[in-house]
Amino acid sequence: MVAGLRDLRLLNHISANGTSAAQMIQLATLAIEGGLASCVACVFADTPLRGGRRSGEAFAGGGRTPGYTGIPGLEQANGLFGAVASHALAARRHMERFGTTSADFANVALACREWAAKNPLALKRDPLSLADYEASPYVAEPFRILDCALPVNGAVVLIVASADIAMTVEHPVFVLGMGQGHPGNGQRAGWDAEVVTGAATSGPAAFAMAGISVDDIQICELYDAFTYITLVTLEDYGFCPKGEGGAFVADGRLAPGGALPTNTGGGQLSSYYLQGMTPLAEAVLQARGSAGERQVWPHDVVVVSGSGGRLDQHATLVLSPHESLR
Amino acid sequence: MILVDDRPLIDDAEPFSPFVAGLARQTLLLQHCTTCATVQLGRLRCEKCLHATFRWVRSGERGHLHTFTVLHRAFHPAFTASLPYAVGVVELAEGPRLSAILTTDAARLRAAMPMRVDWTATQARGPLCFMEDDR
Repeated sequence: MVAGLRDLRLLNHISANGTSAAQMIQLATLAIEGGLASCVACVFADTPLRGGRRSGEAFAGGGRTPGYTGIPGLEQANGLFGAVASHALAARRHMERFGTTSADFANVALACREWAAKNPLALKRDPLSLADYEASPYVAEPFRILDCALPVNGAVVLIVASADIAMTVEHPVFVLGMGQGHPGNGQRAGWDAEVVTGAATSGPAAFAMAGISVDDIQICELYDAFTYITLVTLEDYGFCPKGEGGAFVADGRLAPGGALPTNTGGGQLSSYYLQGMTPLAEAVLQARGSAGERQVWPHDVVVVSGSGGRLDQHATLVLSPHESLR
Repeated sequence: MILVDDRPLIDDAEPFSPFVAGLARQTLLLQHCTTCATVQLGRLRCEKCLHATFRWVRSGERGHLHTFTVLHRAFHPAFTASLPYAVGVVELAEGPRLSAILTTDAARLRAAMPMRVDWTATQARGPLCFMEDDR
Protein backbone atom coordinates (compact mmCIF):
# COMPACT_ATOMS: atom_id res chain seq x y z
CA MET A 1 0.00 0.00 0.00
CA VAL A 2 3.03 2.22 0.47
CA ALA A 3 3.45 2.25 -3.29
CA GLY A 4 0.05 3.88 -3.65
CA LEU A 5 -1.56 0.72 -4.95
CA ARG A 6 -5.24 0.51 -4.06
CA ASP A 7 -8.00 -2.07 -4.09
CA LEU A 8 -5.65 -5.03 -4.42
CA ARG A 9 -7.23 -8.48 -4.40
CA LEU A 10 -4.11 -10.14 -3.06
CA LEU A 11 -1.40 -8.92 -0.67
CA ASN A 12 1.19 -11.02 1.07
CA HIS A 13 4.63 -11.02 2.58
CA ILE A 14 6.64 -14.15 1.80
CA SER A 15 9.39 -14.79 4.30
CA ALA A 16 11.26 -18.01 3.58
CA ASN A 17 14.91 -16.93 3.37
CA GLY A 18 16.63 -17.82 0.12
CA THR A 19 13.56 -19.64 -1.19
CA SER A 20 11.34 -16.54 -0.95
CA ALA A 21 11.70 -15.38 -4.56
CA ALA A 22 10.88 -18.78 -6.07
CA GLN A 23 8.07 -19.21 -3.55
CA MET A 24 6.59 -15.85 -4.59
CA ILE A 25 6.35 -17.06 -8.18
CA GLN A 26 4.86 -20.38 -7.04
CA LEU A 27 2.21 -18.79 -4.83
CA ALA A 28 1.37 -16.12 -7.42
CA THR A 29 0.92 -18.84 -10.05
CA LEU A 30 -1.38 -20.82 -7.77
CA ALA A 31 -3.34 -17.70 -6.79
CA ILE A 32 -3.94 -16.91 -10.46
CA GLU A 33 -4.88 -20.49 -11.32
CA GLY A 34 -7.25 -20.49 -8.34
CA GLY A 35 -8.99 -17.32 -9.48
CA LEU A 36 -7.78 -15.16 -6.61
CA ALA A 37 -5.94 -12.73 -8.89
CA SER A 38 -5.12 -12.18 -12.56
CA CYS A 39 -1.85 -10.30 -12.29
CA VAL A 40 0.60 -10.40 -9.37
CA ALA A 41 3.68 -8.24 -8.78
CA CYS A 42 6.42 -10.21 -7.00
CA VAL A 43 8.75 -7.69 -5.40
CA PHE A 44 12.09 -8.17 -3.68
CA ALA A 45 14.18 -5.33 -2.27
CA ASP A 46 17.08 -5.34 0.15
CA THR A 47 19.70 -2.92 1.48
CA PRO A 48 22.26 -5.10 3.28
CA LEU A 49 25.03 -2.57 2.64
CA ARG A 50 25.14 0.32 5.09
CA GLY A 51 27.68 3.00 5.72
CA GLY A 52 30.44 1.99 8.11
CA ARG A 53 29.82 -1.73 7.69
CA ARG A 54 31.79 -4.12 5.51
CA SER A 55 29.87 -6.15 2.98
CA GLY A 56 30.98 -9.38 4.64
CA GLU A 57 29.21 -8.32 7.80
CA ALA A 58 25.89 -7.83 6.05
CA PHE A 59 24.68 -11.38 6.60
CA ALA A 60 26.86 -12.30 9.56
CA GLY A 61 23.83 -13.04 11.69
CA GLY A 62 24.75 -11.05 14.76
CA GLY A 63 21.17 -11.32 15.96
CA ARG A 64 19.75 -14.17 17.96
CA THR A 65 19.72 -16.85 15.30
CA PRO A 66 18.21 -20.20 16.22
CA GLY A 67 20.71 -22.71 17.47
CA TYR A 68 20.79 -25.66 15.12
CA THR A 69 23.28 -27.48 17.31
CA GLY A 70 22.64 -27.46 21.02
CA ILE A 71 20.89 -24.92 23.18
CA PRO A 72 20.15 -21.21 22.53
CA GLY A 73 23.27 -19.08 22.49
CA LEU A 74 25.71 -22.00 22.29
CA GLU A 75 26.68 -21.35 18.68
CA GLN A 76 27.28 -17.65 19.30
CA ALA A 77 29.24 -18.39 22.49
CA ASN A 78 31.41 -20.68 20.34
CA GLY A 79 31.99 -17.94 17.77
CA LEU A 80 29.81 -19.59 15.14
CA PHE A 81 27.91 -16.84 13.32
CA GLY A 82 26.07 -16.44 10.08
CA ALA A 83 25.67 -18.12 6.77
CA VAL A 84 29.32 -18.35 5.73
CA ALA A 85 30.30 -20.52 8.70
CA SER A 86 27.22 -22.75 8.56
CA HIS A 87 27.63 -23.40 4.83
CA ALA A 88 31.36 -23.92 5.35
CA LEU A 89 30.50 -26.69 7.80
CA ALA A 90 28.28 -28.27 5.16
CA ALA A 91 30.93 -27.97 2.45
CA ARG A 92 33.54 -29.53 4.72
CA ARG A 93 31.21 -32.42 5.43
CA HIS A 94 30.92 -33.04 1.69
CA MET A 95 34.72 -32.91 1.32
CA GLU A 96 35.20 -35.35 4.18
CA ARG A 97 32.58 -37.80 2.91
CA PHE A 98 33.25 -37.70 -0.80
CA GLY A 99 36.75 -36.31 -1.31
CA THR A 100 35.51 -33.06 -2.85
CA THR A 101 38.31 -30.47 -3.02
CA SER A 102 38.78 -26.72 -3.00
CA ALA A 103 39.66 -26.99 -6.69
CA ASP A 104 36.12 -28.27 -7.29
CA PHE A 105 34.67 -25.20 -5.59
CA ALA A 106 37.06 -23.05 -7.64
CA ASN A 107 35.60 -24.51 -10.84
CA VAL A 108 32.17 -23.23 -9.80
CA ALA A 109 33.53 -19.74 -9.07
CA LEU A 110 35.56 -19.59 -12.29
CA ALA A 111 32.60 -20.59 -14.45
CA CYS A 112 30.51 -17.81 -12.90
CA ARG A 113 33.20 -15.25 -13.62
CA GLU A 114 33.37 -16.30 -17.26
CA TRP A 115 29.64 -15.73 -17.57
CA ALA A 116 29.83 -12.43 -15.66
CA ALA A 117 32.26 -11.05 -18.27
CA LYS A 118 29.32 -11.18 -20.69
CA ASN A 119 26.85 -9.47 -18.32
CA PRO A 120 26.93 -5.66 -18.24
CA LEU A 121 25.08 -5.71 -14.90
CA ALA A 122 27.60 -8.00 -13.18
CA LEU A 123 29.80 -6.44 -10.49
CA LYS A 124 32.87 -8.66 -10.99
CA ARG A 125 33.75 -8.97 -14.66
CA ASP A 126 37.54 -9.10 -14.60
CA PRO A 127 39.08 -12.47 -15.57
CA LEU A 128 39.61 -14.95 -12.72
CA SER A 129 42.21 -17.73 -12.73
CA LEU A 130 42.64 -20.70 -10.43
CA ALA A 131 45.75 -18.96 -9.05
CA ASP A 132 43.67 -15.84 -8.27
CA TYR A 133 41.13 -18.02 -6.49
CA GLU A 134 43.79 -19.82 -4.47
CA ALA A 135 45.39 -16.51 -3.52
CA SER A 136 42.15 -15.04 -2.19
CA PRO A 137 41.85 -15.01 1.60
CA TYR A 138 39.88 -17.53 3.61
CA VAL A 139 36.70 -16.40 5.35
CA ALA A 140 35.66 -19.71 6.88
CA GLU A 141 37.53 -22.74 5.54
CA PRO A 142 37.03 -24.22 3.02
CA PHE A 143 35.47 -20.96 1.80
CA ARG A 144 37.64 -18.18 0.49
CA ILE A 145 36.17 -14.80 -0.23
CA LEU A 146 35.73 -15.91 -3.87
CA ASP A 147 33.43 -18.75 -2.70
CA CYS A 148 31.00 -16.17 -1.31
CA ALA A 149 28.30 -14.05 -2.93
CA LEU A 150 28.49 -10.30 -3.45
CA PRO A 151 25.86 -8.46 -1.36
CA VAL A 152 24.36 -5.40 -3.04
CA ASN A 153 21.53 -2.99 -2.40
CA GLY A 154 18.83 -3.39 -5.00
CA ALA A 155 15.41 -4.55 -6.04
CA VAL A 156 13.80 -6.80 -8.61
CA VAL A 157 10.16 -7.15 -9.54
CA LEU A 158 8.61 -9.91 -11.62
CA ILE A 159 5.05 -9.85 -12.89
CA VAL A 160 3.09 -13.11 -12.92
CA ALA A 161 -0.09 -13.00 -14.98
CA SER A 162 -2.75 -15.31 -16.31
CA ALA A 163 -1.94 -16.92 -19.66
CA ASP A 164 -4.40 -14.75 -21.62
CA ILE A 165 -2.78 -11.56 -20.25
CA ALA A 166 0.75 -12.94 -20.67
CA MET A 167 0.06 -13.82 -24.32
CA THR A 168 -0.47 -10.11 -25.06
CA VAL A 169 3.15 -9.24 -24.27
CA GLU A 170 6.27 -10.07 -26.24
CA HIS A 171 8.17 -13.16 -25.13
CA PRO A 172 6.15 -14.39 -22.17
CA VAL A 173 7.74 -17.03 -19.95
CA PHE A 174 5.70 -19.94 -18.63
CA VAL A 175 5.94 -21.69 -15.28
CA LEU A 176 5.82 -25.38 -16.15
CA GLY A 177 6.84 -26.94 -12.88
CA MET A 178 7.44 -26.11 -9.25
CA GLY A 179 8.51 -27.87 -6.11
CA GLN A 180 9.73 -27.34 -2.58
CA GLY A 181 11.72 -29.42 -0.11
CA HIS A 182 12.30 -28.56 3.53
CA PRO A 183 13.85 -31.53 5.32
CA GLY A 184 14.27 -29.67 8.62
CA ASN A 185 17.45 -29.70 10.59
CA GLY A 186 17.73 -32.61 12.98
CA GLN A 187 21.29 -32.48 14.17
CA ARG A 188 21.75 -35.96 15.53
CA ALA A 189 23.34 -39.27 14.54
CA GLY A 190 22.25 -40.53 11.14
CA TRP A 191 21.28 -37.10 9.84
CA ASP A 192 23.30 -35.79 6.89
CA ALA A 193 21.32 -32.82 5.60
CA GLU A 194 24.59 -31.01 4.85
CA VAL A 195 25.11 -33.26 1.83
CA VAL A 196 21.54 -34.28 0.87
CA THR A 197 19.48 -31.08 0.89
CA GLY A 198 15.85 -30.15 0.26
CA ALA A 199 16.78 -29.94 -3.42
CA ALA A 200 16.60 -33.74 -3.58
CA THR A 201 12.83 -33.50 -3.00
CA SER A 202 12.12 -30.15 -4.59
CA GLY A 203 13.90 -30.70 -7.92
CA PRO A 204 12.36 -34.04 -8.91
CA ALA A 205 8.89 -32.76 -7.87
CA ALA A 206 9.25 -29.75 -10.16
CA PHE A 207 10.64 -31.82 -13.02
CA ALA A 208 7.75 -34.30 -12.73
CA MET A 209 5.18 -31.48 -12.79
CA ALA A 210 6.81 -30.11 -15.95
CA GLY A 211 6.93 -33.58 -17.50
CA ILE A 212 10.68 -33.44 -18.00
CA SER A 213 13.68 -35.44 -16.92
CA VAL A 214 16.96 -33.96 -15.81
CA ASP A 215 18.37 -34.66 -19.29
CA ASP A 216 15.89 -32.19 -20.79
CA ILE A 217 17.24 -29.24 -18.81
CA GLN A 218 19.21 -26.85 -21.00
CA ILE A 219 20.05 -24.05 -18.55
CA CYS A 220 20.42 -23.97 -14.75
CA GLU A 221 20.05 -20.81 -12.71
CA LEU A 222 20.94 -21.90 -9.20
CA TYR A 223 21.02 -20.07 -5.90
CA ASP A 224 24.77 -19.82 -5.32
CA ALA A 225 25.43 -17.73 -2.25
CA PHE A 226 28.39 -20.10 -1.83
CA THR A 227 30.11 -22.26 -4.45
CA TYR A 228 29.17 -25.41 -2.57
CA ILE A 229 25.44 -24.74 -2.96
CA THR A 230 25.75 -25.03 -6.75
CA LEU A 231 27.63 -28.32 -6.47
CA VAL A 232 25.27 -29.95 -3.98
CA THR A 233 22.16 -28.71 -5.82
CA LEU A 234 23.37 -30.25 -9.09
CA GLU A 235 23.84 -33.57 -7.27
CA ASP A 236 20.47 -33.40 -5.54
CA TYR A 237 18.72 -32.53 -8.80
CA GLY A 238 20.14 -35.73 -10.27
CA PHE A 239 22.62 -34.35 -12.82
CA CYS A 240 25.21 -36.71 -11.33
CA PRO A 241 25.32 -39.32 -8.56
CA LYS A 242 25.60 -38.12 -4.96
CA GLY A 243 29.20 -37.29 -4.12
CA GLU A 244 30.33 -36.81 -7.73
CA GLY A 245 29.55 -33.10 -7.97
CA GLY A 246 33.23 -32.22 -7.91
CA ALA A 247 33.97 -34.20 -11.05
CA PHE A 248 30.74 -32.96 -12.63
CA VAL A 249 31.64 -29.26 -12.39
CA ALA A 250 35.15 -29.82 -13.81
CA ASP A 251 36.34 -29.06 -17.33
CA GLY A 252 34.15 -26.01 -17.77
CA ARG A 253 30.89 -27.93 -17.89
CA LEU A 254 29.02 -25.01 -16.26
CA ALA A 255 30.91 -22.26 -18.12
CA PRO A 256 30.19 -20.61 -21.49
CA GLY A 257 30.42 -23.30 -24.15
CA GLY A 258 30.02 -26.07 -21.57
CA ALA A 259 27.48 -28.87 -21.68
CA LEU A 260 25.32 -27.43 -18.87
CA PRO A 261 25.28 -23.61 -18.92
CA THR A 262 24.75 -22.63 -15.28
CA ASN A 263 24.36 -19.24 -13.61
CA THR A 264 24.71 -17.56 -16.96
CA GLY A 265 24.67 -14.01 -15.62
CA GLY A 266 27.58 -14.70 -13.30
CA GLY A 267 25.45 -15.94 -10.44
CA GLN A 268 25.37 -14.47 -6.98
CA LEU A 269 29.11 -15.14 -6.87
CA SER A 270 30.14 -12.75 -9.63
CA SER A 271 27.11 -10.69 -10.66
CA TYR A 272 25.10 -9.53 -7.64
CA TYR A 273 23.43 -11.08 -4.59
CA LEU A 274 19.76 -10.23 -4.42
CA GLN A 275 18.94 -13.60 -2.90
CA GLY A 276 16.52 -15.71 -4.95
CA MET A 277 15.89 -12.94 -7.44
CA THR A 278 19.40 -13.28 -8.90
CA PRO A 279 18.84 -16.72 -10.50
CA LEU A 280 15.18 -15.97 -11.20
CA ALA A 281 15.80 -12.73 -13.10
CA GLU A 282 18.53 -14.36 -15.20
CA ALA A 283 16.25 -17.33 -15.94
CA VAL A 284 13.55 -15.02 -17.28
CA LEU A 285 16.06 -13.25 -19.54
CA GLN A 286 17.38 -16.57 -20.86
CA ALA A 287 13.91 -18.08 -21.39
CA ARG A 288 12.84 -14.97 -23.29
CA GLY A 289 15.93 -15.14 -25.47
CA SER A 290 16.90 -11.62 -24.41
CA ALA A 291 20.15 -12.32 -22.55
CA GLY A 292 22.31 -10.61 -25.18
CA GLU A 293 25.91 -11.75 -25.54
CA ARG A 294 25.41 -14.52 -23.01
CA GLN A 295 22.22 -15.94 -24.51
CA VAL A 296 22.20 -19.75 -24.46
CA TRP A 297 20.69 -21.77 -27.31
CA PRO A 298 18.45 -23.66 -27.06
CA HIS A 299 16.63 -22.13 -24.10
CA ASP A 300 13.41 -24.13 -23.99
CA VAL A 301 13.86 -25.55 -20.48
CA VAL A 302 15.36 -23.41 -17.72
CA VAL A 303 15.55 -24.54 -14.10
CA VAL A 304 15.70 -22.09 -11.18
CA SER A 305 16.56 -22.90 -7.57
CA GLY A 306 16.27 -21.14 -4.24
CA SER A 307 18.11 -22.29 -1.13
CA GLY A 308 17.55 -21.01 2.38
CA GLY A 309 18.44 -21.45 6.01
CA ARG A 310 21.32 -23.88 6.23
CA LEU A 311 20.49 -25.80 3.07
CA ASP A 312 17.36 -27.03 4.88
CA GLN A 313 14.96 -25.01 2.73
CA HIS A 314 14.68 -25.36 -1.04
CA ALA A 315 12.38 -24.32 -3.88
CA THR A 316 12.52 -25.09 -7.62
CA LEU A 317 10.91 -23.66 -10.75
CA VAL A 318 10.90 -24.95 -14.32
CA LEU A 319 10.49 -22.06 -16.79
CA SER A 320 10.05 -22.12 -20.55
CA PRO A 321 9.17 -19.80 -23.42
CA HIS A 322 6.63 -22.48 -24.43
CA GLU A 323 3.23 -22.95 -22.83
CA SER A 324 3.73 -26.70 -23.14
CA LEU A 325 6.70 -28.85 -24.05
CA ARG A 326 4.53 -31.55 -25.63
CA MET B 1 22.05 -12.55 21.87
CA ILE B 2 23.10 -12.36 25.52
CA LEU B 3 26.26 -10.32 25.97
CA VAL B 4 28.39 -9.76 29.06
CA ASP B 5 31.53 -7.66 28.64
CA ASP B 6 30.72 -7.84 24.92
CA ARG B 7 31.04 -11.62 24.90
CA PRO B 8 28.14 -13.78 23.62
CA LEU B 9 26.95 -16.25 26.23
CA ILE B 10 24.96 -19.46 26.35
CA ASP B 11 21.36 -18.69 27.32
CA ASP B 12 20.80 -19.88 30.88
CA ALA B 13 17.07 -19.17 31.01
CA GLU B 14 14.60 -21.96 31.75
CA PRO B 15 14.27 -24.68 30.67
CA PHE B 16 17.95 -24.91 29.72
CA SER B 17 19.52 -23.50 32.89
CA PRO B 18 20.63 -27.00 34.06
CA PHE B 19 22.95 -27.20 31.02
CA VAL B 20 24.87 -24.09 32.08
CA ALA B 21 24.84 -25.21 35.72
CA GLY B 22 26.33 -28.50 34.51
CA LEU B 23 29.12 -26.79 32.60
CA ALA B 24 29.93 -24.79 35.74
CA ARG B 25 30.54 -28.14 37.50
CA GLN B 26 32.47 -29.47 34.48
CA THR B 27 29.73 -31.92 33.54
CA LEU B 28 27.97 -32.09 30.17
CA LEU B 29 24.22 -32.70 30.65
CA LEU B 30 21.72 -33.90 28.05
CA GLN B 31 17.92 -34.06 28.03
CA HIS B 32 16.41 -37.54 28.37
CA CYS B 33 12.72 -37.70 27.44
CA THR B 34 10.88 -39.25 30.38
CA THR B 35 8.29 -40.71 27.99
CA CYS B 36 10.33 -42.32 25.19
CA ALA B 37 13.91 -42.05 26.54
CA THR B 38 15.22 -40.22 23.43
CA VAL B 39 18.40 -38.33 24.29
CA GLN B 40 18.58 -34.79 22.89
CA LEU B 41 19.59 -31.22 23.62
CA GLY B 42 17.96 -27.84 23.07
CA ARG B 43 14.38 -29.05 22.78
CA LEU B 44 11.27 -27.67 24.44
CA ARG B 45 9.44 -30.81 23.36
CA CYS B 46 10.84 -34.23 22.60
CA GLU B 47 11.93 -34.35 18.96
CA LYS B 48 10.52 -37.88 18.69
CA CYS B 49 7.31 -38.08 20.78
CA LEU B 50 6.60 -34.36 21.46
CA HIS B 51 6.17 -34.81 25.20
CA ALA B 52 7.68 -31.96 27.21
CA THR B 53 9.15 -33.60 30.28
CA PHE B 54 12.85 -34.29 30.46
CA ARG B 55 15.43 -35.47 32.95
CA TRP B 56 18.92 -33.97 32.70
CA VAL B 57 21.41 -36.83 32.60
CA ARG B 58 25.18 -36.68 32.47
CA SER B 59 26.71 -37.38 29.08
CA GLY B 60 29.67 -39.68 28.58
CA GLU B 61 31.25 -36.54 27.10
CA ARG B 62 32.73 -38.42 24.19
CA GLY B 63 31.91 -38.61 20.53
CA HIS B 64 33.38 -37.88 17.13
CA LEU B 65 33.76 -34.96 14.79
CA HIS B 66 30.96 -34.61 12.22
CA THR B 67 32.28 -31.54 10.41
CA PHE B 68 34.31 -28.40 11.10
CA THR B 69 35.45 -25.03 9.79
CA VAL B 70 38.36 -22.75 10.55
CA LEU B 71 37.26 -19.13 10.80
CA HIS B 72 39.60 -16.45 9.48
CA ARG B 73 37.19 -13.55 9.92
CA ALA B 74 35.48 -12.63 13.15
CA PHE B 75 31.78 -11.92 12.78
CA HIS B 76 31.73 -10.68 16.37
CA PRO B 77 34.41 -8.49 17.96
CA ALA B 78 34.76 -10.82 20.94
CA PHE B 79 36.46 -13.37 18.67
CA THR B 80 38.86 -11.12 16.77
CA ALA B 81 41.79 -11.88 19.08
CA SER B 82 41.25 -15.64 18.70
CA LEU B 83 41.58 -15.74 14.89
CA PRO B 84 41.96 -18.15 13.27
CA TYR B 85 39.92 -20.58 15.35
CA ALA B 86 38.24 -23.90 14.58
CA VAL B 87 34.58 -24.61 15.25
CA GLY B 88 33.05 -28.00 14.70
CA VAL B 89 29.94 -30.08 15.06
CA VAL B 90 30.58 -32.97 17.44
CA GLU B 91 28.32 -36.01 17.42
CA LEU B 92 28.09 -37.40 20.94
CA ALA B 93 28.01 -41.16 21.45
CA GLU B 94 24.45 -40.68 22.79
CA GLY B 95 23.35 -39.29 19.40
CA PRO B 96 22.88 -35.50 19.69
CA ARG B 97 25.24 -33.12 17.94
CA LEU B 98 26.72 -29.97 19.47
CA SER B 99 28.67 -27.07 18.14
CA ALA B 100 32.01 -26.59 19.89
CA ILE B 101 35.27 -24.75 19.61
CA LEU B 102 37.96 -27.28 18.71
CA THR B 103 41.20 -26.84 20.62
CA THR B 104 43.09 -29.55 18.71
CA ASP B 105 45.57 -28.33 16.07
CA ALA B 106 43.36 -27.44 13.10
CA ALA B 107 45.65 -29.16 10.60
CA ARG B 108 44.92 -32.48 12.33
CA LEU B 109 41.13 -32.21 12.21
CA ARG B 110 39.23 -34.85 10.24
CA ALA B 111 35.64 -36.05 10.28
CA ALA B 112 35.21 -39.12 12.49
CA MET B 113 38.10 -38.04 14.74
CA PRO B 114 37.28 -39.17 18.32
CA MET B 115 36.51 -36.16 20.49
CA ARG B 116 36.05 -35.36 24.17
CA VAL B 117 35.24 -32.22 26.14
CA ASP B 118 38.24 -29.98 26.78
CA TRP B 119 37.44 -28.82 30.30
CA THR B 120 40.57 -26.69 30.53
CA ALA B 121 39.14 -24.32 27.90
CA THR B 122 35.39 -24.69 28.47
CA GLN B 123 33.56 -22.04 30.47
CA ALA B 124 30.13 -22.24 32.12
CA ARG B 125 28.45 -19.71 29.81
CA GLY B 126 30.55 -20.79 26.84
CA PRO B 127 32.53 -21.45 24.87
CA LEU B 128 32.13 -25.21 24.99
CA CYS B 129 35.38 -26.76 23.80
CA PHE B 130 36.20 -30.22 22.48
CA MET B 131 39.54 -31.80 21.67
CA GLU B 132 40.85 -34.95 20.06
CA ASP B 133 40.22 -37.94 22.30
CA ASP B 134 43.49 -39.85 22.17
CA ARG B 135 42.52 -42.25 24.92
